[in-house]
Amino acid sequence: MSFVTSESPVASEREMLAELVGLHARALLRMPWVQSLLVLGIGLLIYPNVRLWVFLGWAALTIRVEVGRARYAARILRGGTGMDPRRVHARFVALAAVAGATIAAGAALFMPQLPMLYQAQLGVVLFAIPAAGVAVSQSSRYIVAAYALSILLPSAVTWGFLHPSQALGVFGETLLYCAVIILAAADGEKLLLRSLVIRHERDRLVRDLEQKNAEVRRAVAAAEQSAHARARVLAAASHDLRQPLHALSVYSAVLASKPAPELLNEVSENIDQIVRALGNLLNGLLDLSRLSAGYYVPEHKTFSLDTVVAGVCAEYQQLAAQKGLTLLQNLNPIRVQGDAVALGRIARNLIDNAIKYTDRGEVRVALCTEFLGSPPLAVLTVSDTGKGIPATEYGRIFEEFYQLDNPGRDRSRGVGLGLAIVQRLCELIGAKISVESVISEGTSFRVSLPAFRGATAYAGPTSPQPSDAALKGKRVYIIDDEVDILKSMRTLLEVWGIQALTADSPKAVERIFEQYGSPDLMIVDLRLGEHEHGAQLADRLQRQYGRFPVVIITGETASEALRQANETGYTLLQKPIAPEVLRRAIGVATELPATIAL
Amino acid sequence: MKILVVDDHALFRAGLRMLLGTIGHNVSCLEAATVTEALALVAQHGDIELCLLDLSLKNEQGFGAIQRIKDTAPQVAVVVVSGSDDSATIRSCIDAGAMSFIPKSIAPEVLTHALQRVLAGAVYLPDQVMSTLESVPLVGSLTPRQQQVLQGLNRGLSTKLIARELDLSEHTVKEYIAIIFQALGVHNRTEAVIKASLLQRPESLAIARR
Repeated sequence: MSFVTSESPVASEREMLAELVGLHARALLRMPWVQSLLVLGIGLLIYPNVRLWVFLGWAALTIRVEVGRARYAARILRGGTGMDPRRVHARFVALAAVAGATIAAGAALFMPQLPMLYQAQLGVVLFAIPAAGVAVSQSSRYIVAAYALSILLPSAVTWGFLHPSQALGVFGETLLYCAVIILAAADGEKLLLRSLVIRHERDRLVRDLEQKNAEVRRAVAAAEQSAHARARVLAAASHDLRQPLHALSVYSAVLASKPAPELLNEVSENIDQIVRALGNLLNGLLDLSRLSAGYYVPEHKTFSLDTVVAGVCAEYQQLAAQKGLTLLQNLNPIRVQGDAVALGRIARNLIDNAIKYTDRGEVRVALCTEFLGSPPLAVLTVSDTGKGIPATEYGRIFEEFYQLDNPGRDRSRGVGLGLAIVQRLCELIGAKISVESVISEGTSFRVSLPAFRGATAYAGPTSPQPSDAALKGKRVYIIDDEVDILKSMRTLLEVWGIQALTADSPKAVERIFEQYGSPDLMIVDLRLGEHEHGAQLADRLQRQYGRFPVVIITGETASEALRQANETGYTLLQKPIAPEVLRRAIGVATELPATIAL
Repeated sequence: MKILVVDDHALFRAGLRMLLGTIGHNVSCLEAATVTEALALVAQHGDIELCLLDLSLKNEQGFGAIQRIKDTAPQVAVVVVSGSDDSATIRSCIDAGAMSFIPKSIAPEVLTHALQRVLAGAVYLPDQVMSTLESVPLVGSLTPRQQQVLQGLNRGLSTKLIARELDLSEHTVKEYIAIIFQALGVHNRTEAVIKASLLQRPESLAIARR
């Protein structure tokens, strides 16, 4: 329908009118024929009693009016004239009145000349016409009213003149009849409105369905893309894992074939290289899968980023020097809130990459605060004077196993997971990473994250070993269900001058708490062989005895269990624990007023 | 014996060099990481007898490398040493003129055995290629001359080269090849190489004689 322009889900009055005039116009197209038949019928009925030219004049007039209506209707239907449906409707009402009036003129013209019986017959015909008009008007109250009143009132008045005794009754009947016809049209209007609402509802459903379909298609596409990415990683990983295995197999054959003793040195060196590369690859893959699976829960601690980055730079000084590169650092003191381990790893991978892909010149590591926006940003940049990365490759360098200019996949160039890990870590800790590069001039990676301006306790991963004095006299409780571990840890702690109390069950540790109160530190195994795991026990005891530092130790390697432990918010150490790691952890934990507990 | 090892994985190449040096006598190895390097070495050293070639080299995927080496130096027997081991790849290599195919995934002792065979001038093909052939027909004995022609076929030599090497006319060589194909029940060189390698195995000979 050319008038339907509204998009609103509920049918508006305007739209309803548009629908209505459209239907009415279609019905009007037939009207000249209907009118002709009607006129013919009336003519046959009254012919002998009226003058022919009067009748023919009247007949021509009414048919002409209907033809006019039909023409206008045809124009509207053809049109899409963009006309206001209200105006069109008003014209239809007027035209209906004209059409009715010309028909009614017949009553005034012919009735007085007709014998009584014919008068009655003509009256019946005239009164029947408005009823048919309801169908033609397609339920517009106003069109029906205009048509019916303009026929019936003159007819009734004529009848009243001819038969004054019946005037009142006929008038009353006529008005009642008009009312009934108009009410019927109003009911039709309601029906039309409802059908419009239903149509709208259907359209809305179809739109919704299409939208849902599009969403599903998008989701499927995304899933396919991710499956594709996984397949690509798997294919690359399987190639990269197989290559060193094949090489190892060759060396195994060499060793089995009893090689000359002078070869053995080279064999062992090569095997060592292969095994290292393989180890790096496996570690990278495992890290990546841990990061991707969401098992790595980043910490939210405040720490000095400059200290962390300085530590990483120190690790790489020697490697850079071996390649004849200068490792420059310009690290402004900046404190950030986040995961020190993740940021250390990001810095390490970026610096490692920079050194790997630079043959001469320098690698610059800079850390500064950027006050452009709020909050201020801590910005770490790692730049090199290497061969550069083409702009077209910026996106791909973060893909797993993608290595620039290393299609032969020479494993001494690394495994191609470093930047993929960096990107995942950045996503996890909410840092932004970007890259800029100029071919044969160098590349610069930029990592930014909100700087932290508060003053809180600081415990970085590179915190120094605590002095003997710092540990001396501290009271540490150790809970583990393995007696051997308890014994060896107590021995170790006592050597450091720590007062160590051990318990092999929650019950036993409760007795210790009852006797001695809170410790300076509680070290507890995650799995205690009871319903309660270590972190829950620590929670419970802290509720009872107030805050005290807690370190969780665990032999778990399953990511799920580790994630659970991480989520408790306690410091987590993985067994087997090296003494220096334990010592540092005790130092950090006992220095703080209380560990972070969620 | 001069051998060229072509592989882009330096450590793998070094391992092969050591293994060849240990199990072979008077073996001297040349190494190349790309086909271009390999072609240069082949052109430079006319006395290279054997080339161990990796299929997936930098910028040089597939069988073109075999062809190019054979084109430059037809006398060199090419042995493909590859990470892939599917039958289709193996057949395509033989089609392209390779003499043998050694998958990198085979066990160390099998690798040693395979290299020993290759050094001795015999064909080595992995088992799964064999299983795609019907059972070995009882071959009527080939004359020593015909066996030499078969050797030439194995090494991927052209009819012309075989004729020159054995001092026979090309026509005669073609006749011999027809006889060999008939005896082995095969229709082309690839099948002949595969079947001949099977016949050269002592265990399959035993089966064949039964």
